[in-house]
Parts: sequence; structure tokens; C-alpha cells
Amino acid sequence: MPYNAPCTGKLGRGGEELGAGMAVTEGGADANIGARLVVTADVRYLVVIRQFVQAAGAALGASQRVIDDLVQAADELCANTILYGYSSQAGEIEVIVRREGDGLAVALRDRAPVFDPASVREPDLDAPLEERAVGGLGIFLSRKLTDELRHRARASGGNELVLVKHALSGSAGS
Amino acid sequence: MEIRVEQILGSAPVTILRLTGDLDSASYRELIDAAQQACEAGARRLLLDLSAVGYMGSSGLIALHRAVLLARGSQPAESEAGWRAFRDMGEDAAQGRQGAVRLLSPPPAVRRVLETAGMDQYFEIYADEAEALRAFAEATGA
Repeated sequence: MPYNAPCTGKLGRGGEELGAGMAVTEGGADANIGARLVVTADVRYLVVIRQFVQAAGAALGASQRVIDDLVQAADELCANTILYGYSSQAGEIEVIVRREGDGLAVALRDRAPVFDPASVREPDLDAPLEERAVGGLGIFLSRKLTDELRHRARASGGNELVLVKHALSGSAGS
Repeated sequence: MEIRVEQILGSAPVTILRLTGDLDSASYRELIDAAQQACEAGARRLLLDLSAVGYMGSSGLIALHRAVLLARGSQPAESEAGWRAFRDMGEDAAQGRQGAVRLLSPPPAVRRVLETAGMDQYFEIYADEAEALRAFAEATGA
């Protein structure tokens, strides 16, 4: 898969550094390990993140519907990290795609100021659209498309968000 | 993203913007710019052909809303991204479906984004270009 972005990657369990270029790899003997990508925090490379989640999700056996949901959620949250977390300053985003239980998870790590999307109140779907929009459309979509959205502040600084679909196949938000 | 512009002349002139590529946080301003140029040239009815859009994020929704404001001749707020834009879009969408900007053939993944965000209630969506053009004409009584 051709990636023309400044990114580096490691094979599964802390394996070989790939250097600039591409990062999608299979987890070798342990398919749950998945793949890891480190990419410059720049909106121009959101397409790289989307392609990476797509390829890694497919390699781990997820359905296209599940992959589509995680691709969209990862794109929205990474865009927020780039535009508001890093405020367009230099930084990196690490993306890990792995099996979690019977499902698929995408972990997003950054060094931006701590921000928990759960701190944004849950939009009420019965509320007028203007009230829903206040909650933040990207975060709203991410919640809607995932079964679980976990946040933790990293001890070394920054955030880790984990986006989870509980099954490898299924419909959006299920 | 590549955007091709076509003019359909007649009693209800329509400007068609044909989008090819992904409509994300890196590219959505290109759609806003194209809509702005069209509207500065006098366009008041826009048909956005989304059939070749592979991906659309929430920033794409913001661009669609901005196109509506431009086609109506409204002056959008400076902040085209972020919370302010989300709020502006929501307030406007709450007024109901509009007819200045219509959408043509969004692929299923793009349509799902519109539906998930509730924006399918804001845009008339067509699978057939001739039907969309007829709808513009009928809306103006032409």
C-alpha cells in the first residue's frame, strides 16, 4: 500500500522499525496484535490514517461495515486532535489497530493537552438539531459509530483514545 | 479533491459542482471556495454531484452548509470549522429543508454520514440528475 507521508511503524509486538514510508503490518503469529502507525499530526495525512485503519481492519478479519465505522470515527477524532489538541502545532499521532475480545479496537495516542471527549455532553437525539450540534458533530459521530469510546490521560503526557466495536461484523452503533 | 463546475442555463439556471475525491478536514475548504466562486458569479442554485466522493467527514457537512449560506447570499461567519460552525449549521438546519443546494447520488457511506448527523433532513437528495434539475425548475415555478 503506497503511503507518501512522513510516518514510521513497527511490526506488531515492538518489532522492526520500518522508517519513513508505510507502516501497515500484520501481527505475525498473534493476529490480535494488529498494526501500528505513527504519523505527523497534519490534516493532509488523515487519508493515511483512514487507509491504515481500513487495511489493518481488513487484515484482522473485520467486516467492511465495522471498518467503515472505525475509519470515520478515527478520522473525526484525529482531525479534532490535529486542529484543536495540537492547534496545528507540530506533533504526532500513533494509531494502533488490534483485536479486542470478539471485536476490533483502534487506539489513538497523542501528546496534545489532555481532553476527554466524554466531557462533551451526550447529544439528545430527540432535541432540536441546534442543541445536538452544540455537542460537537465530530465527537457526536464518533460516539454514534462506536460501541465504546474510552479515554485516559497518558502518564507521560497526552491522551489515549480507544475506539471499540464489540463484534467483527455488525451494524453501525451496535 | 477535484471539483468540476458546469452551468445549466435556462429559466432556472443551476450550477453543478462535480466532486471527485475525499471530502475531509484537509479538503473541505476547496468545496467552500468553489461554491463561493460560483455564487460570486451569480449562482443561486447549486447541485452538488457527490457520486465520486469516497469519504466525507463532519468537515464535509460544514462545507455543505456553507454552500447553502453562499447560495442564499448570506454572509457566513469567519469560523468555518469548529464549534461555532457546528452551532451555526444546527441552528440553520432546524429551520427545515432548504432548496438552494441539492445533492446528487451520494454513495452509501456518504449518505450514512448525512443520516447519522441528521442532515438528510436538510438536503433534497436525488439519484437522477434530470430529476434534480426538474425539481429546481419546479421550485422556482419555471
